[in-house]
Amino acid sequence: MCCSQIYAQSSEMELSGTVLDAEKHEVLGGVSIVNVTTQKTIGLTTDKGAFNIKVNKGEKIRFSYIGFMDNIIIVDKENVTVLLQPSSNALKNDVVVVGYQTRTKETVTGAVSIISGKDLQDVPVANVEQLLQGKVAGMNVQNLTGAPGFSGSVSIRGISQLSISGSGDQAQLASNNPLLVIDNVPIDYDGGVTQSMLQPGAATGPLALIPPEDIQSIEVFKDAQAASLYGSRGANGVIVITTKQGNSPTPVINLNSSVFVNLPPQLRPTWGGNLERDYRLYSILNYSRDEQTVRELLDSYQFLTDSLNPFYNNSTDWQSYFYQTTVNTNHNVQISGGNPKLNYKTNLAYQLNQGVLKNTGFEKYSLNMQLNFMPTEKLRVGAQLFGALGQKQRGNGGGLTNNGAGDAFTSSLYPSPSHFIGIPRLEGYENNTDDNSTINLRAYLKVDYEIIHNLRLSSTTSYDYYTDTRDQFKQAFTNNNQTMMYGYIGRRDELNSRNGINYSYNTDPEDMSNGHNFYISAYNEANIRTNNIHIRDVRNGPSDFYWGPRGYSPRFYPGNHYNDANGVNDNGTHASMIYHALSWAGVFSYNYKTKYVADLSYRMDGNSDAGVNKRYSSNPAIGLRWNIEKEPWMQKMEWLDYGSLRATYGINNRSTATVLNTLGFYQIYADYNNQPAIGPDFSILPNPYLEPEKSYQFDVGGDVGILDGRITLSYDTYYKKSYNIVRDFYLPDITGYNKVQVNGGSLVNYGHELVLNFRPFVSKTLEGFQWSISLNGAMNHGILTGLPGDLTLYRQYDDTYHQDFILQVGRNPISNYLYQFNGVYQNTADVPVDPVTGKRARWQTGIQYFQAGDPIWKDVNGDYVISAGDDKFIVGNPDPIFTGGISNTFSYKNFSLNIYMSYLADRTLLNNAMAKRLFDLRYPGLDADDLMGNLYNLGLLDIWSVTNPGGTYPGIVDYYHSRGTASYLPDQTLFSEDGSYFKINQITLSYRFQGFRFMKKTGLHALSAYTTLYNVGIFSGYSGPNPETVSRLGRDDINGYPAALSFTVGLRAQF
Amino acid sequence: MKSSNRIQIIFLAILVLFVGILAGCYKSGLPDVKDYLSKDMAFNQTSFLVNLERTNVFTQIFNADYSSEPLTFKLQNFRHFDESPAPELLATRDAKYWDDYFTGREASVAEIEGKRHTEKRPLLDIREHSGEIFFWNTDSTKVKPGIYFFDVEVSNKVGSHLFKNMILNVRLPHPYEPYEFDDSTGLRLAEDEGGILHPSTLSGAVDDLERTLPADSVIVYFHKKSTKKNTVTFKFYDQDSLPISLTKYNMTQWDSLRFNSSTTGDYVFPFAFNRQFSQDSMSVTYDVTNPFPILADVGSDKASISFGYKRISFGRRVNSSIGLTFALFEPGEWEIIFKYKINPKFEDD
Repeated sequence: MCCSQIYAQSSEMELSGTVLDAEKHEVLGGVSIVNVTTQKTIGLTTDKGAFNIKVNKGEKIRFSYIGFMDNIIIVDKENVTVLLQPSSNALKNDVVVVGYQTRTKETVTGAVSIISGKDLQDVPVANVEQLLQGKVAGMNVQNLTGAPGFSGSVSIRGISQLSISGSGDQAQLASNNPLLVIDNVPIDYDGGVTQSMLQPGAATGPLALIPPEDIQSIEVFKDAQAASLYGSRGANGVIVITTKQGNSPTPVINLNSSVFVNLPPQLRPTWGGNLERDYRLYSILNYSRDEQTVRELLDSYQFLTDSLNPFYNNSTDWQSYFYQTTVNTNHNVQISGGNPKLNYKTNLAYQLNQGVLKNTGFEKYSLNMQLNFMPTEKLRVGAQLFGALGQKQRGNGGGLTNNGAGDAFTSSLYPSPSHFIGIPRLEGYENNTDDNSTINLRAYLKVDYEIIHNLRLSSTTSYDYYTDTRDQFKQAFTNNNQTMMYGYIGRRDELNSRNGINYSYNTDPEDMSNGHNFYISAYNEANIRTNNIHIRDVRNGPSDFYWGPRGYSPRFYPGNHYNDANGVNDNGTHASMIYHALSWAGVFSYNYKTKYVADLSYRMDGNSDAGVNKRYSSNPAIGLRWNIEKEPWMQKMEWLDYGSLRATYGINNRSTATVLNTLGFYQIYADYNNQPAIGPDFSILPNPYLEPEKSYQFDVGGDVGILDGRITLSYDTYYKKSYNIVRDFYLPDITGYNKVQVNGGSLVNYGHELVLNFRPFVSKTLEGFQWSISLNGAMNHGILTGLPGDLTLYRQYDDTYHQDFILQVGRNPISNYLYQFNGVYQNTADVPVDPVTGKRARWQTGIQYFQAGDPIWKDVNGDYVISAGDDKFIVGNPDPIFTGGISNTFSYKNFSLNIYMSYLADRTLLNNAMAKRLFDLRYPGLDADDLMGNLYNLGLLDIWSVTNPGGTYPGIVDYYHSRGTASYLPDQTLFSEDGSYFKINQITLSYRFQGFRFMKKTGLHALSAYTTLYNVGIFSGYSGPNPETVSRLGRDDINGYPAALSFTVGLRAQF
Repeated sequence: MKSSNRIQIIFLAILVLFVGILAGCYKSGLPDVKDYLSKDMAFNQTSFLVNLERTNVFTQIFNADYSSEPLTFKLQNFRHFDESPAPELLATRDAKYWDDYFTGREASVAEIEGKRHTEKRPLLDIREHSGEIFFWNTDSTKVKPGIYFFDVEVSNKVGSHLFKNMILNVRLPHPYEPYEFDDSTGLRLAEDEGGILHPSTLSGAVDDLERTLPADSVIVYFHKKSTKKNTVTFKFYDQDSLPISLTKYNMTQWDSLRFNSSTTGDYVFPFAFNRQFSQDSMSVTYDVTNPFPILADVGSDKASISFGYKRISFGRRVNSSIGLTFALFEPGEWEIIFKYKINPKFEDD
């Protein structure tokens, strides 16, 4: 299809061949072939990587492709295999879509990282997000949960939110997630899981629905200039995903099938059987206050005393009943074809991903169809239809991330489940239903018309629709003998329309690098979103087999405790909203010989939720770039491929206004004179002056490539101040209102990002040994710089574990508030004595004075009483300072091996899972909630005892005393640990079949087999099983869902 | 070639310098961590009722409202009720400081006293960083009973807050407790408010006609004999003021008398030291600490003692006991006298 330029020259010849990825030995389609001498594009490779062009002998031709380094060959023979070396993301000829405009990377001023779709293959994960970990310097992806289909957390350049909701392990930081743009359609990253709807949200996010096989490239915009064109939704950064396009004269069928096994990882350490019985009995017999207590306890704990009874003579490994190994499949078929005038693509994907915890898993189906049509040079039309169904099982229900079953593990002495013995908590995971489905339909139509030369009109309209449903049914046996039916239906849609005009002018249209180039564009964007959620919640139905009544039952009036134990009636319409936004944007871009580049942009955003006095907000940005290697005085440096300097500045807005906090709402109150009284809701005072949250950001960076791409380096440093952050301001009760939301929080993130690529071994031939290393790292420091009302400290009380959050100006934005654990008293004589009262120091309640084996907590105010009000410290930082990743790719002959690793350093975790299990041992039988937990493996800890006076953990077996001194309470630095880790994310070994006869017979163009280990291992000094599967705020929840190790065997074929 | 090399090196140097300066500036504009002083700090009591001739302790009275520690507390501006200065509250007094904790198992008065030493402290004293207020043992020759005012300044690195007009209400001493006189007026309390002392427990006691004796059929007297040493003596008298021999109280566990300390949560054993029965077995005397129990003033301890006897009542054994919970603050030789208004029956039926 290729040869459009023919030059009448004597030695003209036909050159054909294949272009391959030098590392993975896969064919590369869509590689552009340029004649170096004439700077004309003379062809593209097909999806099979093949090309056939007419050239002159001895000419230089250049092959270039996104994510790869250019390869220039000199024509001498008729058939060649061209290898392209991957470049991670630092090269100059990559094409980037910035603000809906396609540009070469060398003219991009902002901080952009590119991930090639090639790097996301061969691992059948439930959510593409998992594969982005450690791939972009400055983008911190944490896979907080191993539950298939759920999302982790993503933050670009630190946190920019301060609002924390919930308590204990469920405490959540407001979403920092960036804007997602898939094929030019802006999409809500969280997929409808908004902060206020953590619990009922059934939604599966868009990144879990898109198959990785369909992704061509992912661009991540980190700085203000790059993000400003996306307006207020881009304030946390932008991730742009481009899916593949058809490009082959004959239809190409790509098939990728794999089978993968999910294996339960290392679980929580536990003591069972005799170890458990002996410990509990020893504790009761020796450390009860008197014989009467011993008798009472032993009488009530038959499971401990009746050890000869076969019913109680067990060592049941409960975790083994909850966790399982699953076999799953992943299939992807892509049919594509066409040429630049008309091309099409259909991608069909299916994945079954059953979780390692019973009754959890994710199944998804998706279909992505794309058609691009260019009837004339002036008119381009593109259309896409994407449909997906994601189905999640949540086991026994649970919050956003914690579908784990940690709380459900009971004493190992209880008999294992059998035909005659049911355990409610296990039955919950075996028989209860919690199905969550998301149906997503997305369509767009894009029309682009060139009215006169270089003046283009463009219009893009997209519609994105989601239906989220959750059907939950708990059998009576598993739910305190009352059935529970919970239904959730959410419908969300978003209509987005963007219309613009752009004009480009080049003084030398033939060669951009030889003159002045201008680009000017203006567009507006309209956006309408609606969201409707309906909930029904019905308790105490007639039987486990009658799932009803559907709809609102008159029996379950508000306040009926059967309806909801918390006295909250959840039936009805949970949310119903409509939102309009309108934006105007202008872009001016100029470069001189592509050497000096300047970008100016401005965008105004208005929306229907904003404070009535602050409808519009503006996002100005400026970016400059200097490609130094084009300076004449740098030309002599042969070893330098390229070198550039970038600087940007911009202001971004994030709309945080809602109808509630700017306009207020009315409530129906009790009757007054037999009329229902309607009055304002007093929970929040409307603030019509509420402004959007803002941030300004400086970014200075540079890119260098030397020694023919052997080493490339990219560095960025930034300073980002987020201000006007909305905070709750509590009002005195004389106002009648509880609180008002005001602007006033501010914080700064600054840091450095470095990407380094080496290619120690480069081979021009297929057989040679190739090795490339890609390293990236980011350092981010966050500092809280202000709180409303000139406060310097804000304490957010945590009523679950008393692990309060502290926001203190001058520190990292969020800190913990804990007792400082300084070791264990070796002797009672070491305990300080109050000289006035003659008493030893003690815990704030009770009269258990500290003795040998008790924790040494720092008594800050010196009153010999450790109390919450005055002896806690502001410590820790749940946000990591260092994050990054390391990738190694080796290839030799037809084999290639990729080892991918990521790391995180300097982050504080609270091991609540361990704390809870140790703290519960102050009740040697049933715990404080009258539940029987299982026993932590105490052999792992250096616990103080009379025989081990040097122990570093407080004494535990004297349960009565430690109940009084609260030795193992969770809000102390004993459980505050460093969460640094080094993780091997992925090891992939693939083999490319080449030259086999069966391939020709079956019409196979390419065939590869691969095997992948995913989540291979995590190395950390942390005492819990995994420092990553913790909450966003660094709490290791006992109910966290462990990250499974998966083993994949797959085949890739191309027909 | 050479000059372009120089340009390149200079360029690189400028670049590194620029980025270095830029990164160095990041921190300079940021606020430092500052102490926090809450405007909602508060004492949870502003009036302090103290008695003379004992140590008065007020702990856990300050709510710092999460202000940055350490806070520094200073007492100032002592005034009388008429706003005239009251320097007598500043005068130093002997304060007993514990070096080691009180176990309740000490074997002698000397051993307990050996755990304490004396320090000079201002009469009205505040612990520097925690705001606990102490009023040391003094007598009315130094400080007259009445109302006093004082201020407390609380400060940390960022500022200070003055709590004004705190009230010190100095009352007459309680030589012992329960005390049957009002510590403000010195008058005897009304009978229903404790103007007449009765045993804390009286159970199983009957008179000759087998009628149960209520607790108010016994009157308890505290009597100070001398100031030679610190002792307590228990005596019993019948309705005719004739002494009752302690041998009547034949169920009394003389060797294991103990009482529970509400401060330590544990038993104090022995009850007191150096038990001496009189020749005629009419009284028993113990050496005691001052105060007795030792944590009576700095904690809230009270000593308890119980005297028991058994008798056969129509073929059934009845255990009977009489007991008192008390504290002694004034040093000296104290006698505690149980005077029956109706004679109890000790004999079997």
